[in-house]
Amino acid sequence: MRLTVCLLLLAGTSLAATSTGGAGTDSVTLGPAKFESVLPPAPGKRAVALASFRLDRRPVTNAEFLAFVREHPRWRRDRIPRLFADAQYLSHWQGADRLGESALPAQPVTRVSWFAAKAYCESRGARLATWYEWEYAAAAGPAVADARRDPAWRQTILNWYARPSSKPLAAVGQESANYYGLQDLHGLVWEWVLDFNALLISNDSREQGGANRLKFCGEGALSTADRDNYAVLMRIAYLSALEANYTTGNLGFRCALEAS
Amino acid sequence: MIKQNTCGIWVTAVAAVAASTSCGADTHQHEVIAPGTPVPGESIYQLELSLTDQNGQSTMLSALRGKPTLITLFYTSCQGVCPLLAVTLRNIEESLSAQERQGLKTVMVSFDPQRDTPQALGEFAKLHQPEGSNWLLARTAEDNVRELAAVLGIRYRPLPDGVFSHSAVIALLDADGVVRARTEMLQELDPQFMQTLRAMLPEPAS
Amino acid sequence: MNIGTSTLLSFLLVLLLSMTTGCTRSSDDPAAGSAVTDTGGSASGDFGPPQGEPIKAVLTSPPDVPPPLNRSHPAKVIVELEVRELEKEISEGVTYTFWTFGGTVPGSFIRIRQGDTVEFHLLNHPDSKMPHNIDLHGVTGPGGGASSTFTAPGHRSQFTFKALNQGLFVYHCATAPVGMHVANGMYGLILVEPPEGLTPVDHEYYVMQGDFYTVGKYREKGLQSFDMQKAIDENPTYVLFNGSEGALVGDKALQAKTGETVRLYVGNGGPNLVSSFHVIGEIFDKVWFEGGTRFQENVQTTLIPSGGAAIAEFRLEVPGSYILVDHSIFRAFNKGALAMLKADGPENKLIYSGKEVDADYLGDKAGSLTAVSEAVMARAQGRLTKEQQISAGKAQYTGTCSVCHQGNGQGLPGVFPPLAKSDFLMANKRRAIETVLNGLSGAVTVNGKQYNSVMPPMSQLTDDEVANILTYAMSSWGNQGAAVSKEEVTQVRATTKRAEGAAE
Ligand code: HEC
Ligand SMILES: [Cu+2]
Repeated sequence: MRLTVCLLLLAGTSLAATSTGGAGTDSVTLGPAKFESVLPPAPGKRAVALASFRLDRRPVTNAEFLAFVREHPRWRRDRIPRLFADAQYLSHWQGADRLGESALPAQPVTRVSWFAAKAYCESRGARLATWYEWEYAAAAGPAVADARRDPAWRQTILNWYARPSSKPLAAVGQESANYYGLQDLHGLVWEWVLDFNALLISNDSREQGGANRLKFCGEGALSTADRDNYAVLMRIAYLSALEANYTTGNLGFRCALEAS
Repeated sequence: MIKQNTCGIWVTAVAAVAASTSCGADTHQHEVIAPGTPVPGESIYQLELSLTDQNGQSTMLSALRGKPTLITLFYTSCQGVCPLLAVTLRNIEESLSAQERQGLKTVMVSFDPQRDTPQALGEFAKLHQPEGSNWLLARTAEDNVRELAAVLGIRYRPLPDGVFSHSAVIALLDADGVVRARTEMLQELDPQFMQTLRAMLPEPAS
Repeated sequence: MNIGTSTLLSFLLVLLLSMTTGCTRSSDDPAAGSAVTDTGGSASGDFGPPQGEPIKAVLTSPPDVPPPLNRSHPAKVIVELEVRELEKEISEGVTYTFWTFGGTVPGSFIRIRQGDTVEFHLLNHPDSKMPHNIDLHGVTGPGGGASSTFTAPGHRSQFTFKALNQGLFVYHCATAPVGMHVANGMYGLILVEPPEGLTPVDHEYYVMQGDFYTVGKYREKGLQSFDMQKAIDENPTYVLFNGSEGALVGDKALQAKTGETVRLYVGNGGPNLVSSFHVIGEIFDKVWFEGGTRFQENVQTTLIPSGGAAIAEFRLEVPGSYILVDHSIFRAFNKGALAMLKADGPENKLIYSGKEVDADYLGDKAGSLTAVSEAVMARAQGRLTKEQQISAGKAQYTGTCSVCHQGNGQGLPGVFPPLAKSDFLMANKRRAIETVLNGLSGAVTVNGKQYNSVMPPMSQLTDDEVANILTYAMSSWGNQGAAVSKEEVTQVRATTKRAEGAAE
């Protein structure tokens, strides 16, 4: 494994986030910004340029997803083709258009596939956040735009990773907001990103940039492992284990939007 | 819509394998959807996306239904693995009998709709497809590429300077568009993949 | 064969080793080297296509090993291994979220035959937080299966391999960060039997060492999380056999009878440390070092690399408690790398004249905790009696001290000094408190016998706990001492310095 130490700087303009609350859900405007990602955008390149974008304050809830399914019945669990969601899709709901006791309205919706998450956001005129947008937003601590060098902050993330997902999920919006006013980016659910299949981590993490280079066209198989960033890398490992129709009990999403 | 059957024996053979009603291997146009029969839930033909091929013709992805299909994602300006993908597709075809070949379609969809114009696709096809084959090289909107890659389990990422980093996968679809095999073996033939493929193709006449 | 005995003074432990002398090897002995041809390796490991119906592999949890296969043909074997992320006890009162293959650390033991075709299914439980995969060192092919088995929570994957090489192999997770997945317990053993099988023995056991890295100090109570920095520094908080300090002691000790032969399948999951595997008081008659085909005879300590394994076989001649250790000995006494094998049977004074030690481990915690809470209540109300202290102390002694000093306070000869009728303990109350809080090392004489070992500091205990434990110890097994009060402990804690790395 090639170790690339990358300096993490949220360079420049950390404009205080402005709350806009458009498109029916409360969202926040972030960027434009340049920041250093764990995933180098190109060989030898560090900085990622982000255009201004809006991000939901909180993950999408069961109640919100239920409203979507009622309006777009092709996304009901009894109608959706397997190509778009595996057999566990919304399986914790009591019925195809009913939540029931193990899916409370304010809990984040989970057991949703990438296709379903994407369709939900598109129905709102929005989209899923890209990995870079998500990483940028989630790098913030409670009081700073870039908490990635803060060991205490990192430890809280790792503590969440270490807890199996056997307990019921909390409602969204319980945790204190981060620097931008965003909630639950860490510690509640994993979240889909639009380009989850762009992370290019190999299934065997030890062969990054190794003998199997041919498997990937062009440079850019993920070849970074800044140890300070392994919390973020583990999220990338998680996302790269997914296929687009996968659903799991701790995977939800939130939507993003181009800033107008 | 239904196209006239024009190729006798193949039709029966393919139809038997694929429950399809058409073949049209000798034409340039795309196959016809079996009317009525719904597409299986796992079929990639559930995707509603339109392809524009090297002749500038548009067609729905689901119109490919009818024959077993080799499908891969690539882009024409790719210097690394894409020419090898094409070589592999060619090697697969050339390992088949003429008869088997007719029962098979080969489709390459571009990661790079901006630069892969019909003309660029046409040139790439001419360069790589075996004599007598009619590969379908196509582009589709960016968001469609993402969905197509997602259902084929292909990982890719645009890099600056027009390069795409991507996994090199050839998928084998059955006549209904369900992925039956995948291979990442380049140039050489993947024995298991070939076994699955041969089982889908019409028996060579003895 | 002549058996001579010689006494060997190791730097920490006085060990009695029986040495074999004058042993000649016959030329067809597989260990003799040049006279034997090799097994042919993977090139000779393919015995053709699988025969008969597919077989579902029997998987066992440590320390158990699936029964010998007794099969004479290659088969198709189906292995289903489920990954579970579970919070379990790593030490008394200390929990840790382990990532496991099959719900245990080490993971389920897999047993197959050379030439078998294995259809391997990896299931990742829906409650998992992480994706996982598996690299089996017994697989020929890039990644050992890792890239074919990368599996998201709530999903499963499958791949097939032919087991071409015989031997004892480690398997482990290879998901990024690999070291962390391994450090969380993701390893186990797969035995690929040679076609003719292994010679039958009376007992087969499965023991695997691993190093663990927690944010809290050794034995610091509560749920502990993984410490990446300690892992990178290769500075483990725990070094354990079978994933927990108490995994193989007391009534969970391995069992055998004298006259029986025991075969240990010993692995080392790492992620970092190499193990100097040793059984105190035994000599391995045979060791298939590195898990390979040849054995070495008459071995005292065998080196097991991280990601490696060995098979150790010995016949038990003398009854008693045999202690399995990593002979990098601080790991045994200060980080937990200690397990027990209890051999029952009649004494054989001709071979060993020592006094048998009763190593009972009173693991009855349920009842004992009432005594503890009663004592806490009583103290709060200012009416704590010595009797209450003794009952509470007994429960806490059982969890904390009895692993070494034994349930009956007798200790183990040469290794752990007795507390029963200990002149050292009874002479000086303050020193006793200091011993518990700050540990003890270097030469000490107890009841006329010298000990030169290390007792780890126990400063993670509360002042109440220390007071109760010592009150119990100083009033039991023939000791007649006064009660130790919480205030006395508080005073000692305030006036002495904590050992480096110990809880405050
Ligand atoms: C990991 C093993 C271990 C544990 C657990 C342990 N001890 Fe010890 N203890 C030792 C060793 C070894 C010595 C001798 C140290 C030396 O040689 O310097 C010792 C010495 C002592 C002594 C002084 C010698 C004697 O026998 O009187 C006392 C008192 C004592 N321990 C009490 C305790 C108490 C009380 C506990 C529980 C709170 C405890 N020990 C837990 C290993 C242990
Ligand atoms: Cu793992």
